[in-house]
Amino acid sequence: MFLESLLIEPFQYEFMRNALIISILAGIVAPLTGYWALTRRMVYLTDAMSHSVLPGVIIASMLGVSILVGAMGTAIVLALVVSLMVRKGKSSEDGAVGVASQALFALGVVLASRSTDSKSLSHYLFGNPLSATFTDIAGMALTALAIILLMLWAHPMLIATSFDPEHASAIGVKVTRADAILILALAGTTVIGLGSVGVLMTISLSVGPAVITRIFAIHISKARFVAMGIGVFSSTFGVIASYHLAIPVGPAVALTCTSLIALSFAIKSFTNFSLERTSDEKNTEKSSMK
Amino acid sequence: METLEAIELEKMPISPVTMAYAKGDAAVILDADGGLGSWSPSIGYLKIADLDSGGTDLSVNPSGTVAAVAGSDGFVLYDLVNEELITELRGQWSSSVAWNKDGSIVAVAFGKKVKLYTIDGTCIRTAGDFASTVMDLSWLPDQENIAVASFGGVSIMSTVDDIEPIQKEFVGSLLCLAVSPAADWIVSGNQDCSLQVFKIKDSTRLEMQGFPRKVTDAQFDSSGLWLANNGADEVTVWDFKGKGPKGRAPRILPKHVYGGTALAWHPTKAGVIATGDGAGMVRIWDVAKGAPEKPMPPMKRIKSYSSSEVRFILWDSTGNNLVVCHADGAIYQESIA
Amino acid sequence: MIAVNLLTKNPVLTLSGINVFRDQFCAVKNVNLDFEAGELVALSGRNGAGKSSLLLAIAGLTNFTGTLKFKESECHHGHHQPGIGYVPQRANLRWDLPMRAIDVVLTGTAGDHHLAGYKNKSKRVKLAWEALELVEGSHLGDRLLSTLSGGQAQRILIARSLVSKPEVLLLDEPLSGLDAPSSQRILNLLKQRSNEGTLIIAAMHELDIVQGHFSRAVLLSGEVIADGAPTRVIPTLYKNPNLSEVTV
Repeated sequence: MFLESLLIEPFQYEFMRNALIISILAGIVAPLTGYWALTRRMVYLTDAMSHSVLPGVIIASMLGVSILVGAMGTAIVLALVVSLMVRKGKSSEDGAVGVASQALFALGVVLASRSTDSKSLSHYLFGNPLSATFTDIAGMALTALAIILLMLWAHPMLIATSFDPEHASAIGVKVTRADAILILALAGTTVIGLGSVGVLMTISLSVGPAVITRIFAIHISKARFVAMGIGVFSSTFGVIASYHLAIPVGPAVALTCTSLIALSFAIKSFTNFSLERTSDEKNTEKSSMK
Repeated sequence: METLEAIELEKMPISPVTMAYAKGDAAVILDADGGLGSWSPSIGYLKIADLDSGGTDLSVNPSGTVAAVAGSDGFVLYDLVNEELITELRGQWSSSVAWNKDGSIVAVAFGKKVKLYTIDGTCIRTAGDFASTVMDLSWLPDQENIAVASFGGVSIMSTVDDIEPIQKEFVGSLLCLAVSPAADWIVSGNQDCSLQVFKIKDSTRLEMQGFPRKVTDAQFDSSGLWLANNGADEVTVWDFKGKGPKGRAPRILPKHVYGGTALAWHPTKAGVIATGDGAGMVRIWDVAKGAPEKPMPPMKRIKSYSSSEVRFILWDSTGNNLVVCHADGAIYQESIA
Repeated sequence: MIAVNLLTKNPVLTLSGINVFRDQFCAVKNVNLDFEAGELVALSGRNGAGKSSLLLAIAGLTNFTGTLKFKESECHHGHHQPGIGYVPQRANLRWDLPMRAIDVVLTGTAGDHHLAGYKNKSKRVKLAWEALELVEGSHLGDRLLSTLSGGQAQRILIARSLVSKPEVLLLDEPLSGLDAPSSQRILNLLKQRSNEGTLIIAAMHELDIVQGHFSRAVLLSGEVIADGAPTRVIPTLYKNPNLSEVTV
C-alpha cells in the first residue's frame, strides 16, 4: 500500500526511529521556548545563541564531556560578554549580541576545522539525527523534560514580564530572573536542536510555529501547545520527507515549517479566519482627542 | 451679561462638524456621520450625499467645484457640480484635508501618511509613515511644502522634491497646527494643554503650559500679526508684531462658556475675530482695541438663535456676512455692516 | 514634636529630602511631603517636570536618595512594597499580545509569593475577577486586548493594581487620551477608592479636572513649587500668561 511505504517503511530502520524521536523532542521544546522569544522580541538573541554555542560544543566533545555542558558554558560566556559590552563599552544591545555571537561562531569554525572528531562541522550546522545513539537520546530527553517543566513553572512570570516588565518589577517579580530563565531554556533548546535539525535550523523550528499562532491570533495560554503541535508535525513530516527525498533532515524540517507559515498566510488572507475575532472599537479614543 | 432670547429656528437634522464656502453664498456642510449638505440663506439646508465616512474635516477647492472630505474611515473627493464621487480611499483615520491655493492639489492625512491628489482623483504622492496618526496638516505659504502634525512634532514635507520630510521637534502630542501667512512661525496646540510656537528661521521655540484644557484650535489672522487659541474660558490672542510674542502679555477675550468652541478671523480686517462658545453665544472682537492682559469687551454680540454649542463660524469673502452653525443643527447668517 | 504629630495625623507615606534619579540625571530634587490615607492628590506640572519620576521613586522603580517611608517601614529602589500599587502610562504596553483582559488583571497576582504558582490558581483567578468588579469591568474580562478602548484599557490596568488591595495607588496620567465620559468613570472610580481609605496620587495634565475633583495638588517643576488645595495651587492662567522660550 502506498501509505504504508510512505509512512511505515522509513521506521523499520533503528536509525530512522532514533532520528524521529530526537526530532520530535526538538519539535516540542523549540516552539515552546521560541514562542516566548517571539513574544518578548528576543528572536535575534535566539539566533545569535544558536551560532555561539558552537565552540563550547566542539571543546566539550574534544574533552569527552557532555555537549550540553559545553553549550551552556558558551551561552553564559555570550551573556557575560554582551553585558560587559553594553555596560562598559556603551554598545547597543543588538550590536553587542551580533559581534559577540559572530566571534564565538568564528572561533567554533576554527576549532571544528582543527578537530579530529568524527562528527564534521556540517553535522553541527545542519544536524545529523541519523547518527544519534541511545545515550544521545536519553540526554536530550532529560534536557527536554527539564526545559518543559521550567517553562511551565515560569509561565505566569513570563506573561507578567512580557506584557509590562515595569509593573511586574513593581509587584516584586524578578524581571531579570524571567529573562535568565528564558535564556537558559533557549540555550538548552539550542543543544537539543544541535543533535537533531542542526544549529542553523533550530530557529525555524523555534520561531516558525509561534509565528503561525500569531497569524491566527491564538490566545496566549493555548498558543504554546498549538505551537508544540505544529513543531511535532514539522519534525515528523521533515524526517519522513528526508528519507524519501534523500535530503538532510534539518533543512527538510525547516522547509516544512516555512511552508506551513506560507499556507497559514494564504488561509488567513483568503478567509480572514482567526480563532479570536477582533473588532474595531478603538476609534472612540481617537475621536476624543480633538 | 444680558441674556438674549433664543429665537425659533428650523434646525438641520444633523450633527454638524465643519463647513466651507462653495459657490456664491452657498456653503457646504459636513456632519459627524459623513453626510455632505449645502446651505444658503435663501434655500436653507439640502442634503447632497451620504459619504458614510464619519466626518472630521472638509476643504472645498477655490473654484467651489470639488469637496475633499476627511473622516474616521478615510477620505472622499466629491464633485459638487455633477454630484458624483470622484475617488475615495478607506480604511484609516483621516484627520484633515487641505487644497493648495490654486486648487491643483489636495493634501489628505491618511492614518500615518499624507497623500496628495489632483482634482481628477489621481494620487500623485504618498509621504510617511509619520511618527503617529497625522492630526493636522497645513500648506505653507510657498505652496510647495506642507506642515504635518503628529505625535512628537511637526514635519515639513515637500510636494515638489523627493526628499524625506524634515522633522521639527515639538514635545508631546499635537492636536492642531497654524502657519503664519509669511511662513515665519508655526504654532501647535497640544494634548498636554500647552501652546507651542516655533520660529522657522532660527528654530526658536516658545511655549506656554498650564491651559486648563487641551488647545484644539489655534489660528493666525489674515495679516499674521495676531494668533488666537482656545484652551480656557478665555480666548487668548497673542501679538506677533515685530520680534514676535515672546514675553508679551496677550489679549484676553473673556467668558466663553466651556471655552472658545469656534474661532474665525475676519478675512481682510486684521485683528477682527468672531468667537463662539459652548452656550451658543457669538461675539465679534477687535483685538487691537484691547490692552494686554486685561479682559476686553466685545465689539458686537450676535443675536442668539440657539443655546447649544457653536460648532463653526464662517465669514464670507467680503467680510460683511457671518454664517453660524450650532451643535443642535441651527444655522443662520448675520450681516455685519 | 507632639504638635507636629497632631498636625500630620498619621501619614501613610512620608518623603524626606528625596532626590529622584533617572539614570544619572536628577529629575526631582529635595522633595518633602507627607500623605495621609484617603487623600486624592494630583501631581501637576509640565512635561519633564518630574511627575512620572516621583511616582517611579515611590513605587521603588528608580533610584533616589533621602528617606521614603510607607507606614513606618523604609522603602528603597528595587524593593517591592506590597501595599503600594502602580499604574503606568497606558501607551507603552504590549496591547498587541493575544491575551484577554482577565489575563492582564491576573498578572497583578504574579508577584504575590504565597499565591504564585499553579497551586492557588483558583484563588488568583477569583481575586482577579473581584478586582475587575471594582472597576465595573466584569463584562470586559473575556475580551481580547486589541478590542479594548482607551478607557476600558485604563480600567483594566487599575484593576490589575487593585488585585493586591493596595493602600497607596499611584497613577501616571490615567486620563490621557480619554473622552469625557471615560474620564468621568475613571475619576469616579478613584474617588470611590479614596473614600474607602486608599491614598491616591495621580500625575495629571488636566488642570480643570484637578481643580474640580482633587482634594490636593502638588505642583512640580524639578522640585515642589506648591502644595495645597488645587484652587490655591494651580496658577490661574491670567495671573501671568506669556510665551517663554524653551531650550531643548
